Amino acid sequence: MNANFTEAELAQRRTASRRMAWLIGAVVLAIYIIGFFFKRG
Amino acid sequence: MSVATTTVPGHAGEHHGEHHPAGILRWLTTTNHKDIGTMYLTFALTMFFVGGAMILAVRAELWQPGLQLMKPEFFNQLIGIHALVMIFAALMPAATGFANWQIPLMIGAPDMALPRVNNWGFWLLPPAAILLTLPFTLALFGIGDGALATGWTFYAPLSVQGGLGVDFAIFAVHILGVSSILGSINIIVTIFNMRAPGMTMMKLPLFAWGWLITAFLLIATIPVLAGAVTMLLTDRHFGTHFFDAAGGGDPILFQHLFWFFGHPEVYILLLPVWGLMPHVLATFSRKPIYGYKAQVYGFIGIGVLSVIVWAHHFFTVGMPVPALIYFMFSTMAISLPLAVLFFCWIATMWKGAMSFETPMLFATGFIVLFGIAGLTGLVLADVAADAQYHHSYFVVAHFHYALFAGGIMGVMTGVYYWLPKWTGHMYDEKLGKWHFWLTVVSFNLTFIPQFFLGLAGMPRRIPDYALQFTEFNMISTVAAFILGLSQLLFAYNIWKCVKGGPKASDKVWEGAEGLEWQLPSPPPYHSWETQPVVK
Amino acid sequence: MTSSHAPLVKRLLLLVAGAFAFAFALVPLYNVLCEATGFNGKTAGQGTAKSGVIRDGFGIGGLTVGAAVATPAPSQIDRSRTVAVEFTGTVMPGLPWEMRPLTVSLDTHPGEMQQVRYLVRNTSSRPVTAQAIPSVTPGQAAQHFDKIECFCFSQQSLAPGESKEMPLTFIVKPDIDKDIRHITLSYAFFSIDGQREALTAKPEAKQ
Ligand code: HEM
Ligand SMILES: [Cu+2]
Repeated sequence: MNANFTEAELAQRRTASRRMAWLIGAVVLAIYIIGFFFKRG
Repeated sequence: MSVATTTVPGHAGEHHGEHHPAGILRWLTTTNHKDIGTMYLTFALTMFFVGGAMILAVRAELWQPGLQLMKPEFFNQLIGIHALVMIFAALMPAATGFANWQIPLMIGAPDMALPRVNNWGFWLLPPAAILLTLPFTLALFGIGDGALATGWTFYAPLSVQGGLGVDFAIFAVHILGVSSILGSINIIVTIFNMRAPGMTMMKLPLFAWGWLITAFLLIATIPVLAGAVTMLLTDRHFGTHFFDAAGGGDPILFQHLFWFFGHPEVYILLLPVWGLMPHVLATFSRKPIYGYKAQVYGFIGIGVLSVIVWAHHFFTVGMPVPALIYFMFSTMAISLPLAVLFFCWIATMWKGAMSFETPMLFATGFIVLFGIAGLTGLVLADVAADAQYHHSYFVVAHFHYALFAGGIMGVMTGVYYWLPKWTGHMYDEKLGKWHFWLTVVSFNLTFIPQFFLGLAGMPRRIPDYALQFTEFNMISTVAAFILGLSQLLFAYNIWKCVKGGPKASDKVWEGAEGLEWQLPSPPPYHSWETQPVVK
Repeated sequence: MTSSHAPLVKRLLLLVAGAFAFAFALVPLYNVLCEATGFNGKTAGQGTAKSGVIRDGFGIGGLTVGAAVATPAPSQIDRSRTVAVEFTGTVMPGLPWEMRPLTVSLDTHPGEMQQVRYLVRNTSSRPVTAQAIPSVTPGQAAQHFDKIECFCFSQQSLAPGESKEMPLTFIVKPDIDKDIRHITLSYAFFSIDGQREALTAKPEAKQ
């Protein structure tokens, strides 16, 4: 739990978090854009 | 910019144990910032469960339309006391507990500046809590007509006409106010006068900055609330007419006075949390805090703006259009500095080597859910929309995203983050993760339906409702019970951690930065006998 | 050690005292503001017409000076539009009275003088004195609703069981906003028990 990561593990976590950020960003953008196509009944 | 003395006179070396009395007397007379912090936090946790039990009774009543379990008068008491307990006896004392424990550790001070005032500040709380809940408890046994039944906002003329419970609540608010002001003065003096040599204001940890703004807001607004309830008291008993139209007074004046305090109060509750968030995010992203200065200016900006927007709580009383427009735009303007904070939080995580221990789970959960609070706040700030949503369940959902997801979950973040430092033991990580996931899932299941109920027109503060609202209310009730029960895991985890557990290192977290992590875990009874020097 | 903190503590305590005083200062401040702007539906009395200040809550800061605006003569009746006026009333707790408007609503032209009556009855077996407080909705209409004569200008006393028709004469002034086509006038009757001295300014009670 309170692990001291090696340099390789840290680097891997940095890439993983960057990828995750882009993914979340893309999902949010997608929801935003899809919203424009919803019309009230 | 004064720097306190480097060595603190008056302490006889390392062996303090013998100096303070044992047992209950120790806690009654203690002036030690850690003891007092512990008492604040224990009190807050206890009252969190008291307030929670009350609202579960409310949710049980709202399980079905019609009146099942209680009379409307009792329901009215429950919602008002729940809110007052949660705000004044759970969230605020928890934040003050953090301040007591952490501010001296973080700024390199041996203790708080005014230790005796500190003791008073705490010991005013239990009598106030008793005053607040006594009429309610007595009524359970058939004595008296119960606690105040006006909701936590005391609106006149209802509160002028109410029973003895209103007087009890007024005195409770007075005492709670005195306690908050004593606490605030102490924190401001500590931060201004007792920082370690070399720690300029712009090197002050953000947690201390957040609390500094909170303390100033408390000093500026709590006296206004005290004034308002004093006027209420004299209207009730001494023949004045501040809020009595027959005597030339005006009930709407009460709303102005109350919300002049009430709106800043929501930021008072959150600034300490906004202060601690960047520390946690930086620790578990293994990166420095992004945008320190921007966050400091953000805090100050929000503090200033918060006192000029109050009337958005009663757009519907019939204000002239220019006033509506002014309050709408000034309210919306608060989301700008708030957006700066959000940006800094996210940027702190950006490309970080992140790991998700319980505090980090709560911190990231906080960002998402508190974001929903801010966005729905913007919806309510729109005058035209608010005419529809005001006093509906939409408002209830909005402020629970702000105060539960923002406030309470923020406090939980801090508890998990600092508990190993305080106790010297690690908490149970597995239990912590369970607590987090049960909390977020059941929280959302409780309050998302309330957004829909509000949009569909269900009014708040009414014990009965129209049939078409049944399903959403059932979901909300079930989830609320899961939410409430999950908090037992939290209490158990804390208990377990206090009793024992794996030894925590001084630094506790690999990525932690700051003075407090240089002390042993747990820190000695007197923290910084020799003040550290900050470069 | 504590003494070195004293100056700062004193300054902070001063701040606390200042904030407490500020709460009470807000009371007269609020009344002045409402009187100047009609923010809270407090209606125009006789005094306002003379003062030359139009209090409609719309000008900059809610104040427009009479000279700057061409005010039509009050006698002028604007027959091109009608305004519906509704009447209602409540008896506040502690007053053993009943009240109802004898005219529930009427249509009037701005500038036209109208008279209506409220029927008020003392249901108790003792003489009672009470004061009616008017309120006009929407608030913007309040300053253009001129009461020429009103039972709310003074305290009213009723003998046990007595009932009385209480008159109200008013004009909706022609300078009222064209968008306002509907006005509600509401009275709240309060009992006057003993010496209830008003603490705050009360323009209505004086008239
Ligand atoms: C951009 C941020 C925010 C905006 C624009 C905003 C706006 C509003 C508005 C307009 C209302 C009144 C709704 C009504 O009664 O019709 C409201 C209610 C409320 N807000 Fe917010 N809000 C924001 C953030 C917050 C935060 C951060 C908190 C708490 C920490 C908070 C707590 C509350 C509470 C407690 C109420 C309801 C009080 C009551 O009537 O009992 N809000 N908000
Ligand atoms: Cu607000």
